[in-house]
Amino acid sequence: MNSHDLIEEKRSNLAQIDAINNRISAQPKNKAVNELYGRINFLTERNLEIDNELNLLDYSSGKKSGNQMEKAYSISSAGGGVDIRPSDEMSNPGDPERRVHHKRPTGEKITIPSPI
Amino acid sequence: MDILDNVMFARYFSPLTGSRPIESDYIPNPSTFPTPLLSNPGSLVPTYNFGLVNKYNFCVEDDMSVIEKGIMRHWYDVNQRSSYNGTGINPPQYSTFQFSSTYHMIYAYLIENTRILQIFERVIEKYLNDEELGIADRFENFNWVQNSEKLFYKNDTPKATNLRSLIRPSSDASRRNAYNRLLGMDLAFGDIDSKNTTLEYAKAKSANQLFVALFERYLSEIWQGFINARNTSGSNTADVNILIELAQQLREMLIARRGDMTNSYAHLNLSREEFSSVLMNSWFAFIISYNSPMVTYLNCQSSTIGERLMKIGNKVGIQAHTKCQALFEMAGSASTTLLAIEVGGILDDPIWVQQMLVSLNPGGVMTPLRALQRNYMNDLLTVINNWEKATGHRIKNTEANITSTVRVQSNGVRPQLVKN
Repeated sequence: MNSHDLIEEKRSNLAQIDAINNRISAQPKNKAVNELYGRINFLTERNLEIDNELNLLDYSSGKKSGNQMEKAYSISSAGGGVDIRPSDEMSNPGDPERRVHHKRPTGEKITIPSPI
Repeated sequence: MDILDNVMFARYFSPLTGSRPIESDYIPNPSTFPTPLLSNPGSLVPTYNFGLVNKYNFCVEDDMSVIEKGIMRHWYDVNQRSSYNGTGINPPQYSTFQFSSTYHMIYAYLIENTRILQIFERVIEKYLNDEELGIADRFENFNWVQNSEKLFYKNDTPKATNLRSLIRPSSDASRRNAYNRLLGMDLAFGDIDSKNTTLEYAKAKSANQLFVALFERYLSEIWQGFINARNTSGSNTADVNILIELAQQLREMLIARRGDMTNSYAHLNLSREEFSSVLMNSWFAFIISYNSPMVTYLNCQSSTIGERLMKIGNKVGIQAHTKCQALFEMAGSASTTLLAIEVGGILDDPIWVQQMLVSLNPGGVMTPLRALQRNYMNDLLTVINNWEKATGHRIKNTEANITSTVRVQSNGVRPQLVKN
């Protein structure tokens, strides 16, 4: 089923739930309405399944990942404070390289004060 | 763009109310302003920064008030979730604050832990009170000292981001309070004056004391997931579940200190402290991030930022943190990681995390999504490697970890905390 069909089915289910609630309200107090509530539960469960399927469709079509990508890019491209370039390549102001990882020799160990 | 780039952009291109440009009352604006440059040509995840020369020129403007106005303009742009874009048919997006402020306290904490602020406070003090450091060889260096004092050590500035007041007279103490509340960590040194062995600050009852333990566990699980993802027999999906759970726990811990996240940035706890501390640390980190004219004036040139700071510290009698290089290297990456955790929807998404863990594996098609995930994976690996160096805690091999109380080896004297 495509997303349009799923959304239409969900709308129909919601309308049915409203109608059943109205019927329940109209019933005499001593009349059992378990079957009606059972029907509501079934429709609600089906709507949850539809939501999951819609989420998967959104994700695979790129709609959801688009927003996630925008969010991830906005954080990644910022870098917090001034980006520190860890090597002397950055002594040349024109050098555009940004992400350089260098292994530094381990030396004396010190600790950042920790509450542990 | 980093915070200095953003403040520059705000100063040049973000108008005040009534479409008035930011300008000095006394010195006319130049006819054109510089624009950010693409820092990584060819990358699928473009990042932009102003050139180093332009950045330096911004820091040494004759009228410091335009820098202040740029800072305030940027503060309100962040609160209004603005975006900084270029011009043209397909304008590049330099920065956007739609999802977050893009700044995190961890950056300020790690940078300040190098003692950079105390070292430069002493540099400025020595320059202004005597000629022990000599007379500035260029007027730009003279301006840098003056601007630094007025921006960050002035008592009466009305900036919304100013941490100093009659109630909180010490911005140093205010920052320490903020670090302790959000990250559960103290700085590794005491007061700038060696005669004063204590530095009092208000220690909050509501502090994330478990942050370090949880964050280290998260890094350790990331490492395990990364190693497993490189196994040819297939990745272990259980790693992803643990990572998601830990990321959610970290997020809940961090946002609990901030308040209602539906509010704007300005209306959250610790935002002003975060913005102010990131800005101040970035200002001084920038000047030693390369062999700038100020570094050359102090005759402290070197090949790495850590060595430059150590030389400057030795010159003014304050020893920099011996592991300052590791602290500098992981500050940006740690900030990106914790921001992604706090914002949510990235490092708590199992599909994203699974893809991120394998993003550095050879082969496969390089897409913008994969390039972005590689950046996040590299950031995490940077934090893991440098956290081990700086703290001595084993992240990659947790069985070798110290289990007893960590003994602090400090460069100065630890601050004595005020007990409530």
